[in-house]
Amino acid sequence: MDFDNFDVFSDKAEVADADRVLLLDPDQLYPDPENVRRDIDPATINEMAGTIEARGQLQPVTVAPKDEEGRYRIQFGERRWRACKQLGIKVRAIVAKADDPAQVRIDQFIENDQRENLSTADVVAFVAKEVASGRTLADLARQTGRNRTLLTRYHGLASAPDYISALLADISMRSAVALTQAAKVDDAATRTFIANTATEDMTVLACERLARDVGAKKTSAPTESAAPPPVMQPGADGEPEKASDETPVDPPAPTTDKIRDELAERAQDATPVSLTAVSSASAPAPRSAKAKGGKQKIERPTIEVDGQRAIVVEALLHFDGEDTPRIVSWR
Amino acid sequence: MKTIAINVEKGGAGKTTIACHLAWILADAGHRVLFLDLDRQCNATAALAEFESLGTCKPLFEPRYSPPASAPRLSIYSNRMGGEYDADYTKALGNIRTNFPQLGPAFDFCVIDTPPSWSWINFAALMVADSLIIPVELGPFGPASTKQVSDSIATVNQRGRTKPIHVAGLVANRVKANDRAQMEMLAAIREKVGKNLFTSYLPDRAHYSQALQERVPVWRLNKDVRGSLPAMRAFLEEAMTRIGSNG
Repeated sequence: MDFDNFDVFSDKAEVADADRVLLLDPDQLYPDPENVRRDIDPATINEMAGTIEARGQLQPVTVAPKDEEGRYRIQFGERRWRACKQLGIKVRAIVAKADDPAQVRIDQFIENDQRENLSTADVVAFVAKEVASGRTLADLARQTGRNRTLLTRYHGLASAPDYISALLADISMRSAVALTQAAKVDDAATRTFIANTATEDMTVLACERLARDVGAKKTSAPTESAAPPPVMQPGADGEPEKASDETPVDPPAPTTDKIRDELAERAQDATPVSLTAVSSASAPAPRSAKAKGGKQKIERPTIEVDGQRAIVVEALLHFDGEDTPRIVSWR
Repeated sequence: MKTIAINVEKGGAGKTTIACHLAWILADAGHRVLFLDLDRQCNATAALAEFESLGTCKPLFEPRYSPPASAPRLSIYSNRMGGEYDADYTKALGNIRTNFPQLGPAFDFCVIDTPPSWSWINFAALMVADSLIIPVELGPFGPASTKQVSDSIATVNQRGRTKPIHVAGLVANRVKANDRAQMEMLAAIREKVGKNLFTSYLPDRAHYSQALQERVPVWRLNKDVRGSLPAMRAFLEEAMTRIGSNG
């Protein structure tokens, strides 16, 4: 550690000033090479430069404390900085007090994620990196406010075959999970599907159909029935994460759904629920019958009938404020 | 050697009282304790009668330092410097950074008392310490002093340390339990710093300063200390738990 030209007083004064907005030359700032957002679209920079030119830079960027060369690493606001640079104007910046890279990574993720514009590839890379550095998925879920099952699926994608990883920037997470599942069973068929399908046509529906098709071809009934749901309590429908928490590395998504479907069938068989009897249901407000795009996440409510818990698949419900009862389905 | 600094820029917040009692309880437990009295007033040096003097702490800030060959189990360095390095402290900081670890093998604990107000000496104390205890007084300027100390910590963490200092916690001192304004301030601080505030606090008791004057810990003060000792004991116990394995 070098104390040449060190001034305890001015250094502390600078720390004390840290929360104030400074006007910095763009050249004093540099991007974080580890920024969670890796894809930056030049078009959005132009757009942003336009707004900044018109209205000024409303939101200051956040930078790490001055480094040894007197420069500031950007923690948040790389695009704002690029836009200012392009305009040749000074950047309004706030110097963060502490610079804990691990926490900054989490914060960058939260900031970008909550605007819902990180690509699947970005999220997969982020989750894999955090897990590799020793963070548990449970901890990550807590810190980012994301569902743990979801993070588990993203983490599973980190070990997807290369030809699927290459698609991550363009296809949805669920499509990628389905393709990875399919690839495990029938690599060749999956490659063929990818080769013959435009990325915009790799919808969740199409990819899950592929997964089902190759699964039906090779694994068929034995695996289906050999996958009983021992960890799932019938009716523990709202908490499907429990099953996957123990094995955070696999992408258990389709399995969970499958289990849930099976449970639903079983519940139907075991207890002939009189639909009109659903009165004391602990059901959350149902999202009506529009289960879009095939296998979207379905949260089925549960009820208790004669001491036995059951999942509601379809029910005649009379909602407060509505004139007549109607059939609501969670299929 | 675990090094504990007691620091806050505000004067009269109880740094020396806390530092001395911490040193005494460690000494009573049989540990080898080094006391580094960096306050030029040297009040702790006066109070810690059983600690043997290693002289001025000046050599610690000079090049080619070598630790005493056989240091007494309880030793104390005092700040008898007349401001030699105040004009040019950058070398002194580099030197203590190198020198201080050499004392490690000879002691189990080092307690550092610091001067009030920000200076390069305080920077040095926070630079070499493992843990930091921050006494706060619940007076009109108490909250401001915590802002100052948090800036100090940030400065030292950025400029003088590779591993951030472990803040053992803030401890309220001279607390008048029947003063509503103080209790409200205590609640406000707890709200702000959460578990960084000691659950125990030191009440406003004349015995603590009398003990220092008599050069004994409050548990050896020849008075009925039933009203003052338990709080000090509780604080010291919590302090040791919080310092724990940080070293």
